[in-house]
Amino acid sequence: MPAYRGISEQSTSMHDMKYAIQHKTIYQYATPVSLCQNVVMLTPRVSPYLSCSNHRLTIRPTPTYSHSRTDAMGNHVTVFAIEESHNQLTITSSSNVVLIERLFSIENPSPSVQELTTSLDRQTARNWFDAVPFRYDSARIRRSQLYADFIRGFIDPSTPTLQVLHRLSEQIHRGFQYSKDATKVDTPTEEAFNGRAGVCQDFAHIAIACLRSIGIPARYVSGYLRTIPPAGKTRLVGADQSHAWVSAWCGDELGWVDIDPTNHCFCKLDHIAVAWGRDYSDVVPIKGVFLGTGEPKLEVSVDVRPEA
Amino acid sequence: MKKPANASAGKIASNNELNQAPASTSIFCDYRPIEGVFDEAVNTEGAIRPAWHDLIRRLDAMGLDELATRRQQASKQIARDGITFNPHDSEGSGSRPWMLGAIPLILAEAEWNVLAAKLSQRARLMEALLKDLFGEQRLIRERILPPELLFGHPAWHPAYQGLAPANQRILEYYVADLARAPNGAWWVTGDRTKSPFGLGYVLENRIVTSRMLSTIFRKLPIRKLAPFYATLKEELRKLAPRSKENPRIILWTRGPASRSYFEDSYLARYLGYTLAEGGDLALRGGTIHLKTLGGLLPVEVLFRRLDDEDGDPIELNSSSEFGIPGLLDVIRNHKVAVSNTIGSRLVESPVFLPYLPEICRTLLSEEIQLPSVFTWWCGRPEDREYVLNHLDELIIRPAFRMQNEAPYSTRDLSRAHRDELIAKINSNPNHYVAQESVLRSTTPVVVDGTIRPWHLALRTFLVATSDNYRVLPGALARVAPESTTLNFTMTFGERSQDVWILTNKHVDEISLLDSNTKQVLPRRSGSELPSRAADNLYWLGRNIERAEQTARLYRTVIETLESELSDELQHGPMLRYLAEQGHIDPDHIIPELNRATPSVVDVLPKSIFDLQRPFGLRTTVNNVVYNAHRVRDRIAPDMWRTIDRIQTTLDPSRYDQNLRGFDAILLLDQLLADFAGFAGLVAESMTRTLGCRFLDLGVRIERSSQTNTLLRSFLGTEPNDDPSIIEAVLRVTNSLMTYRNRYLATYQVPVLLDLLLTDSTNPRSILFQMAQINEHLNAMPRDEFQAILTPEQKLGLSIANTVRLADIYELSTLNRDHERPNLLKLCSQLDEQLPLLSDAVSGRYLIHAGLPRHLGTVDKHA
Repeated sequence: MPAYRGISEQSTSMHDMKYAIQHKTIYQYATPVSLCQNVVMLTPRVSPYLSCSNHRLTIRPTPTYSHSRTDAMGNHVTVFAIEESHNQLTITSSSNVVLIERLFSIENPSPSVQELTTSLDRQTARNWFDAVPFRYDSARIRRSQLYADFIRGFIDPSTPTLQVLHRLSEQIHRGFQYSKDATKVDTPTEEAFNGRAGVCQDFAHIAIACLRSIGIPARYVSGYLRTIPPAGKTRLVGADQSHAWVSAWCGDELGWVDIDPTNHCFCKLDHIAVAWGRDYSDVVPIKGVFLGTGEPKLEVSVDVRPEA
Repeated sequence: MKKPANASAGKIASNNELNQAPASTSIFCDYRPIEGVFDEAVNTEGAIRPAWHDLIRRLDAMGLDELATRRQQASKQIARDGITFNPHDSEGSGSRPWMLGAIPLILAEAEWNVLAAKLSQRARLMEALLKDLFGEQRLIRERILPPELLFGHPAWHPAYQGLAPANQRILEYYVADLARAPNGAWWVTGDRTKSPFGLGYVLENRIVTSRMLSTIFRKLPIRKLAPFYATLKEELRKLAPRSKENPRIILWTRGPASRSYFEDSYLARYLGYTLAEGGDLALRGGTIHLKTLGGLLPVEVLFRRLDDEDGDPIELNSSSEFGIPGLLDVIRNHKVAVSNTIGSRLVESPVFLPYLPEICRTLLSEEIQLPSVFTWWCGRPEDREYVLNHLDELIIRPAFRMQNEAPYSTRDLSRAHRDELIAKINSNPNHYVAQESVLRSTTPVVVDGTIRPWHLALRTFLVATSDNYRVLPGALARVAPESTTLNFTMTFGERSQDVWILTNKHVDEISLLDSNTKQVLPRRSGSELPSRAADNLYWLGRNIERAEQTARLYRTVIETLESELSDELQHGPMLRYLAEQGHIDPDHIIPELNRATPSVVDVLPKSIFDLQRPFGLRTTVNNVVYNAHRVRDRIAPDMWRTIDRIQTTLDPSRYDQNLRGFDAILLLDQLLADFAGFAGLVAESMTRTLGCRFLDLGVRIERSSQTNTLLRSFLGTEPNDDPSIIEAVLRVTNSLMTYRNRYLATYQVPVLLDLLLTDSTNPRSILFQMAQINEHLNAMPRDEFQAILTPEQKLGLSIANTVRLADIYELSTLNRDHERPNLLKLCSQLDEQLPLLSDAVSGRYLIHAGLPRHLGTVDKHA
């Protein structure tokens, strides 16, 4: 788990945060690969709370063909192919981003679950159309009674949506074990839920499943997390990781609110969003195919460096 | 919700047409429609409808017996053509032959045109619906469709949004399933927007029926089908993003394991498109290419016959083996067009049906003309209440149809199952729709020598034109004795029928098999052979030659042993060869064991059918069938029939368990005649294309290799130059006649070796094979600037020279160990080089780079 401690104390005094981010991925192939085709989502997602400058995506060897587009959910996608023999593929994404603190707290008023779901069911909420695509099942997440029962164990229909998020995050943080060995990248959400263990991807999927099962729109956010070194230690370059959390729709006033169940906190100045979608499968950072044999060796390093 | 005008009630349409009851001599005189059901041929007063007069008069003239005979002939033709539903099964089980009825369904053009106009509107509606869902999503924004119908639909993927260019047709073809209610009105029971399944069967029905009733077919003014297929071709051509004149269009199939593979290959051949699987297609330089022997050829249009989510394993279903990685992005960049657009299956779901009238008003500003069978979506509380209160009158279907899920009818359910269904609907109401079951109209069908009314389901086909849709003037009719059977998917229909639309106008004389509206320039086809097809043709050649040799070997052995009934050990070389090739167990050639084992002549007939033997006859023939299936679009129907016959001849269930030598010889004679027939067809009816060359290359390499092994075993080690052995060698190699012509009954090894090795005039000699092989290799596509010989050309020449320079007298010399060292040396040289040649050919032309693999999914969000 990205080492992360007590954000709220530190962030009260700051209103923005600058970062230099580098995300480097190296695939080393066992035998030369004659062709690879990839789709990557490695560009920070600009929003009212995030601006990005100096974004560079460097691919070695140089792609035979590449282009960028925006997907149906507004994420920046780069598509490329390398049509010459190569032994190694290196993808480096570097960006300078500025995060602007979003000023709200758990005390902010938000509609109750009942009010929120009714306003969506009846399509009376002003922004219902932006929220509804994230209310239903998706490739990795199936709503079910299982999740609904779980979440109803600590909320009721009159609970304000922000409180729902906070309590859900707390329950997952407290009741689920962080374990890299408990799950794999394709472990079904329900299995992670039943095993009460997993990593950020599982926790995000579980939180989304719980929220959608009671009618709250929720989406999966992939990105980076600033890690704060233990006291007395220096920050290790490249020791960070890509991260994932949840964004839930909390009514027309608040809109989408990001919460990180892995670290049990709202996302403000330490979470840098890259892409969002219905679940992991919509925002896989690097996916693709290659022609070759053997399992490629993967090396990933992420560096999230705070700047003055 | 109030129940609307009922589809199954209503007054039966009376007919003030010419009241003409069938004459008492007519074959229709005992035909009685079912009370309360619309009959296509006869009105309520029992009079024949005018459109049917002519057909019935002519059928009367023919008589029922003749009709039955002709239907039997037609069934045989269907069986010979191998028209089945599930034809990929190599053992032949599970596949159902296509059942075609003798009496076509007749519809008058005036009535048909009214229906066609309504169908066209519905096709426009389905396209508008798809365009909206994949584009603006107005229907959701304006609260006409609940958001769940799109965003909660399992067939929805955000990648479909904005995929195809906004100004382009996305629904090139549309299929509607119809039922006619007792009041004579047509209702749509289902919409099909993925792929026009059935379009090939319609053609086959027409071809078979027009032969079965040829005289009648020629006399009646029947609307022709061919122009429809020409329009389809024209429209697909127009989709091409770049070269509009002569774009390469691919029929993209899921492959032989797919249920529609028969039709895929049939349509590919009829429409003149290359049939390709995902593995035959590749994305290079941002465009889609067909991998062929001549290199990569750009593809402009994909006529899609596989599931939407299988289309692109990078963006959609990552486990799909049938897709083209990266395809969606090529579509977005307008470098290729896919038809129907990927994702089009979405609107097939019955959940849209209750909303169609409102959708039609919103998107087309028209009232819907052709209604759907009444449908309630349990996701709407008032609908659910109605459904639960009327459960036994309705059929229940999955609302978000993904595959051909069978509908439920509570009438067929036990109490417990019924309760279970109600519980399911209550806990997941959104997943279910309920539909009224239309009591379908009937049409005359010949059953057991009489004509009876069977219920009818009609599948209609539409293709886009520049501003509307054109309806196929015909349809796929399915008939069954029970109306409800037809609510199931197509394969459950008991029989099919051709549909004749009778016109008053002059019928254009367009041949069905000549659909081109534009003049086509002569072309020499061939280089467009996908590597996969070439690979299968090559192995088809090898396997068919191997099967033929094996059959001839069996026959020779059985004949030799049967005729003498002498000590089998005299035939040592022959038995050794059989054992080496795995046709008998090694025990037979070990003298100490020989006495204890059953005699070869008893064992051999059984091993003909033994699938455990890897080079056994039946195993090899199964391989032949497998290869032939995969290149079905490239071999002539007669060749296919021959292969089918070979497989039937080898069906063990046709023979006595203890097949004796004589019966085995008859069986093998039959097989050998069929193999000869196949070879003749290859020589006479396959155009001299690359495909043909690969088939022949396979035959030649296999024959050289077989002859070589035979010579080594029979004449190399411990030879027994007994005339009966030499004769056996000549029989197995099919050279006995040539030998006798030249040398009469003098059996000598040197001249035998000449005939089988070095005689360039004997089409059975290895030198002759090598000459043919080298000719093929010289004709292979290659870089035209490359002046030097390719490795396989060098290898081919080297083998040919080795054989040509061999001295038959030296080869025949025996040494003290009673061996022919020079012959053995030559044989082992060939034994080594022929596989190398085969590998060199495969390596260059046949084995493509393999399937792409996914990058590790180890990059988990931690």
